[in-house]
Parts: sequence; C-alpha cells; structure tokens
Amino acid sequence: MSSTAAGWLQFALLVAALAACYVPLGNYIARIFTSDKDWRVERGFYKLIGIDRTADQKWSVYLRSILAFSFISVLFLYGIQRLQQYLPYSQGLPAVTPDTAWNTAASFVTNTNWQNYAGEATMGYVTQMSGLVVQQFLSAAVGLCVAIAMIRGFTRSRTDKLGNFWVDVTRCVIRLLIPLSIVIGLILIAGGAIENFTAYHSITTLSGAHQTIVGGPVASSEAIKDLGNNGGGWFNTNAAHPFENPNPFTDWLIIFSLLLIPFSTPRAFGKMVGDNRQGYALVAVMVIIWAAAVGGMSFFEAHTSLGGTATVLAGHAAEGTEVRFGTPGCSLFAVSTTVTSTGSVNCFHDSLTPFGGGIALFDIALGEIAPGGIGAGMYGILILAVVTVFVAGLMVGRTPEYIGKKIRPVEMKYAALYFLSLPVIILTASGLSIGTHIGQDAIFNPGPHGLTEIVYAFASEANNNGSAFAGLGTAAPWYQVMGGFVMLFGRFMPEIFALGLAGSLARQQPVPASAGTLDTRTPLFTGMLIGVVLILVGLTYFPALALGPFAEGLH
Amino acid sequence: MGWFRASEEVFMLDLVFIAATIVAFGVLWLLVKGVERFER
Repeated sequence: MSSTAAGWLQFALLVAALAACYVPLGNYIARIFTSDKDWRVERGFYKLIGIDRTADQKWSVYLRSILAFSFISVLFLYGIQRLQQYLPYSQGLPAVTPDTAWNTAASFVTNTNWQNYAGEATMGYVTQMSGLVVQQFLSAAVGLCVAIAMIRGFTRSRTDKLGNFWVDVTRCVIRLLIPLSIVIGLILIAGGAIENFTAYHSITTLSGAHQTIVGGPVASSEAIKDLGNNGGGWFNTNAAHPFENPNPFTDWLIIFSLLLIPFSTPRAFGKMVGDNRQGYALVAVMVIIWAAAVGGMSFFEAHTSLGGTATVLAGHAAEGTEVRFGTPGCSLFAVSTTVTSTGSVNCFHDSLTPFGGGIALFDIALGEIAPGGIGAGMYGILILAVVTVFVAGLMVGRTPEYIGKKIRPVEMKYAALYFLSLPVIILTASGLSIGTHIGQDAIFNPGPHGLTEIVYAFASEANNNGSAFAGLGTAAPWYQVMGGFVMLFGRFMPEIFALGLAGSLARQQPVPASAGTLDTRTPLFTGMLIGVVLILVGLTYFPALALGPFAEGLH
Repeated sequence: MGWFRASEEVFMLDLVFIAATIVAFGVLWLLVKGVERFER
C-alpha cells in the first residue's frame, strides 16, 4: 500500500472512530456537568477544601476562582522546577533555570505546553509527574469548565450564576480525564510506549559511540498530553520519539486522543441546550475546516514541484519527516495538532513546505475552533456563532437571536473584545520582536521564513497551542519572558470576555423562536459560520501570512 | 564567596519571576474588575 493510500485510510478510520464516539462521549460530558449527584470521592474532596457544592458562582466569581487557582499553580510549578535537585528521581538533573522555569510554569498552567527545553535532559521524573502532568490534567479541565459555564449562559435565564468552578473542575478531572487517560495509557503501553522508573543507561554502540538510553513513565503522560490537548512531550522530539510513539498504530491513537474530547463537546452542547441539531451544526463546521486543512497540507507536502531538488528526488517533502509515518502521517498529525490546541508533533514543522506551514499557522490563527482545544474550541466557536447570527440579523434587519437569547450590543462588545484580544497580543509581541535588537538577535532565519517563525511562535503561545516552528532562538531571555506573558494573557483575557458574555446571556429572559428567527441548525448557517470564520481570520492575519509563508512559497 | 554571589543572583531572579507572575495576574484581576464596572 502506498503511503498516500495509507494516509487516507488512517484519516477514514479516524473519522469513523470519532463519529462512533460523538454521541456517547458527548452525552456523558453533558451528564457530568448536569448531574445533581456527587461521587463519594468528590464529596470528600469538597469537604477537604471547604467547598459548598451547592453555591453557584456569578461569572466574575467563577473567573476569579480560575485566576486564583492558576496563580497558585504557576507559583507551585515554578517552585517544583527550581527545587528539582532535591526531589527524588531527578536523574541527577540540576534545578531548572529561573527563566525556563517561569516560561514552563506559565506554559503548562495555560494548557500551552510550549517547551523551551529538552524534556529528558531538563526535567526529572517527579518534576514531570507531580508538576507538568498534574497541570496537564488541571489546565485541560479549566478549559472545559469555561466552555460549560459558557453553555450555561445559554441554558439559564434570569440569573447571574454560571455554576461552581470547584465542582466543575473536580468532576472534569475525576469523571472524564482520569478514566480516559487510564484507558489510553494502557493501550499505549500495549502498543509499545514505555512506562518505567529506571535510571538513564549509558551504553556503547557497535560503532563505539556513547549513547544515553532514557526512561520514564512516558505512556501515562502521553495519554493526558493528547486527551487534554496539552502537547508537552516527555522527550524533546515529542511524538516523533519511538519510546513515546512507537509505531503507526500508536500514532493513529495519539491523533484520535487529541481530537476525541473537542469533537464530542458540541454534542454535550446540543444535549445541554436541549437541541442536538445545534451540536451537529457546530461539529459540521469543525469537521469541514479540519478536513480541508488535512487535504490542503497533504497536497502541498506531496506536491514535489513546489519544493527544491531534494524534494523532487525524494518524491515528497521528506525533510524533517519521521520516516515511520511518512508525509501523509505528518500532515494529518500536524493539522490535527494545530486545529486543536495540542501542539505535540510527529514531524518538524519548520521543515513543512511554505504553504503547508502556512496552513499550520492559519489553523492556529483560527483561534483553534475546528475543533479547538478542550473547552477552548467550544467557547471559541460559540462566540463565532454569536457573531454570525449578528451579521445575519443585520442582513435581514431583525434582532439576532441564538439558542433563545437576544444578541444585543452588549453581547457583541464582549464578542468583539474576545476576538480583538488575541491578534493584539500576537501581533504586538511579533512586532516588538521584529522591531527591537533584543528580539532580532534570536532570529536565525532572515526573510519571510524568519517572519513566519516569529508569528508562528507567538500565535502558538497566545492560542495555547505549544507547537513550534523552531529555527527561532526562543530560549533567549526576551522570548522566555515575553512568551510567558503572551501565554498568560492569551489564555485568560479571552476567557474573561467569554465568561462576561455568558453572564450577560444568563441574565436574559429566553426569547421564543418566531418566524423571523434564523434557524441555526441548517447547512445554511453552517456555511455562514465557516464564511465568518475565514473572513475574520483572513482579514486579521492576511498581512502576516502574505509576508511570511505566501511570500516564501511564491518566491 | 563566588557561590554565595551566584546564588544571591539566582534568588533575585526568582523574586523577579514571582513578581512577574503577580503583575500578570494582577492585570487580569483588574481587567475582570473593569469588565464588571462596564457591566454596571
């Protein structure tokens, strides 16, 4: 079987598996957040931290709980890394340097998992397990909590309460992320991923060279890394490392894991608002954008005439590609990791063709709504749906409504602020890096490719993706510090406006559907939503895309 | 003495990054407050 045919077969199996999980997992997610019953372990936890599980929070209190929780998490994770040399199983590694520790703390707490270090050479086992992996569970749960609070904005009326953050985050971790991680982790172990606590071994190879064989509880970390759309690899080469991703089956499973929850969340949305067709309309948008991106990148990575001599001789864009997976496997993984906020990689994104890399950058610039990061994709597409019904309302001269709630100027202000916040953060940080000596010093590739690398880095950080184009000296203090701020603001500023919008919607009285209401369950609405997504992102990022990947590709 | 100076420098950097965390979350906290005021 040719690698192209294998790639499309992999894609078809992926669609079938995700379609099979859509209803049961979506229904289960909805049940988690609507059930009145607490598990015994949950009740014990609430008692331990002194939470009244019946006390619902106003949107701003819900948000402040998230901020307080994340603030403590950043400091805790920073402390673990700085005290690493005193921890057991540190493999003799010293404390992580202050700038890397801070960047990493901000990165893992915001679900970004941007890594300015080589995992196996910087972080000991306890630092990875009790610091980084714990945050991979918690940050993913926080994202889903915001999405659920946003959905409650549509389902509740005449109230300013959106739920209890502490209850939501506990349920998300205990009922969803831990069970799924155990299942995926065990399958990965069966597939050959390593899971041990052995010390590093130094061996001499047949040619006489010295090599260090690393170990670690990798499979269990890999499971939540993908299920939680985190992306931070145990090893520097991430999912291209054979201990982390041993074969094409585990590669497929990893892609499935990172798409599983985001693609099922629209079902939970449909279930919670009492109309499953609303969920189908949103998931259709997600699937169409994802499939188009997979097709586009596969085309550019296989189209030899767009590459140089080496590409023509190899028959595809082979540079930076893991030979076990080939360019189709690389394209499917690269698109899936950038349309979600995962950021794990099985090939080198800096080596993608200019247009292929442009698609990866465009995916991130979409705000990762197709299907997006766990929770983040859901609240992102809901806000885009709000913008779409507003635009449609302007076209036909009626008051826009979505899921029985009026979209008034106040809601549109929240939506506008949500969409402006990320471009402002990304383009300001990119502009400062290009325009100052301190930023320029770390640019190794001048010209359009260098620009793409910078915009990609900040877009990835602000959107909490975490994948890197590499080729940029992001370990320089400027990029460590700027990157930390970009990740923190890129994560929490949009969440402030999303929850503000949810609070505003929850206070409204529901409006019954009338003849003038736009039906948001139809293919027409799906098409309009795709158009709004493409126009919004296109207008915002076109100059950067034109000067970066387009200029390089057309050169 | 050299070790002491180096560890003092590192400790100062730790304080700088803890302060950076406080500043970042302080800005976000104020933003929430601002949005609440806008709401009223």
